[in-house]
Amino acid sequence: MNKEDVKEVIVGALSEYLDMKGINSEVNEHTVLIGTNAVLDSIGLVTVIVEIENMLEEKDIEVSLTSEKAMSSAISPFRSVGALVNFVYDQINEGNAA
Amino acid sequence: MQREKVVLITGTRKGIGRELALFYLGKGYTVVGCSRKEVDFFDDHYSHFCLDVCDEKSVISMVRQVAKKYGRIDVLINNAGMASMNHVLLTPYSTIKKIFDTNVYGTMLFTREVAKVMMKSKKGRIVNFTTVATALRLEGESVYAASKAAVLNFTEVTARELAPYGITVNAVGPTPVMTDLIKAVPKNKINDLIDRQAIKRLGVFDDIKNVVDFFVQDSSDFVTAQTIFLGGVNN
Ligand SMILES: NC(=O)c1ccc[n+]([C@@H]2O[C@H](COP(=O)([O-])OP(=O)(O)OC[C@H]3O[C@@H](n4cnc5c(N)ncnc54)[C@H](OP(=O)(O)O)[C@@H]3O)[C@@H](O)[C@H]2O)c1
Repeated sequence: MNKEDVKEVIVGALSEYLDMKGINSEVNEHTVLIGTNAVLDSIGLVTVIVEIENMLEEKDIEVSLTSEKAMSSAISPFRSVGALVNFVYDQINEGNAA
Repeated sequence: MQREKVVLITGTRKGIGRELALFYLGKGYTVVGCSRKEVDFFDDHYSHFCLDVCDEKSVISMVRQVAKKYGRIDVLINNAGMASMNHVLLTPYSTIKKIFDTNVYGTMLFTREVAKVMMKSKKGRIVNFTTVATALRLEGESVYAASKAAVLNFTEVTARELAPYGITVNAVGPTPVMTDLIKAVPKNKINDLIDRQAIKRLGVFDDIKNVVDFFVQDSSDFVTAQTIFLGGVNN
């Protein structure tokens, strides 16, 4: 899976969630996922992360986004869509997929 | 034809878990079970996984396979458990770890993985197992009681965390029931415990099935974060 494909999955999961919640916000790699300017609240972030895992799993890519690496990293991979794309892409390609 | 509900029960080889598996098969549900060893019963609507509930990889793989096969999991019953009736001064660290691995971490892993499947259907029922030994602060069972206290608190917090997804989480706290779990406990110890219950008798499987099945009902969708102790025991 290349980076564009990963981005498509992440943007897809996020857009779907925002649509469902009636939140009107453009989604691109700069979209902020945590902190004060985030488009999501904490439960929203949890839901989207699990949804991304599920969507990847449907493509037979098993990756755990709740790894210790993700949770303990000094700069959170969940800070923006772009950061998350890089993180997921690395997880898949480092063979860290669970 | 789609069976009524898909129920995942841990610890189905013997004791309460086995009874619950047969009970839900009898009700026409699809039951998926697990334990470290094979089961001695067979049913077209039962499938078994041999695994240790604290082995994360096996748990993830089992839940994924079940979700793939049935498309959903309606009910999770975290029944697998082990006890060690022992004075704290005589309890080896390896036993302490094994008890927490099975009772606490096993429950946590299955909850996490199954809840991810349940959230897709926006509903689900999780039933955990605690014990009256926790409520009674029973001497001689400190580690076991502490592990089940962890399960109780975990039940209450996850009930809140999973409520937005339509998933309820509750727990049952049985009194002693004659299974292998308590066969090594001296009779006078069991009698002392029963004496502290409001209703002074041993528990039977039906007592537990009744409470579990109450939590599992569709109509129990407003019941969450609760623990029901049997026999008239309060925490
Ligand atoms: N019986 C009582 O008096 C009583 C009272 C209060 C609460 N409880 C609770 O009720 C639940 C069931 O107890 P029980 O009396 O039915 O016990 P049991 O007769 O000893 O059965 C325990 C079941 O759990 C499975 N199991 C144990 N450790 C496991 C592990 N690490 N991984 C996977 N499966 C495991 C066992 O199968 P394998 O050996 O094949 O793995 C077996 O099927 C437990 O949570 C217990 O704490 C029981």
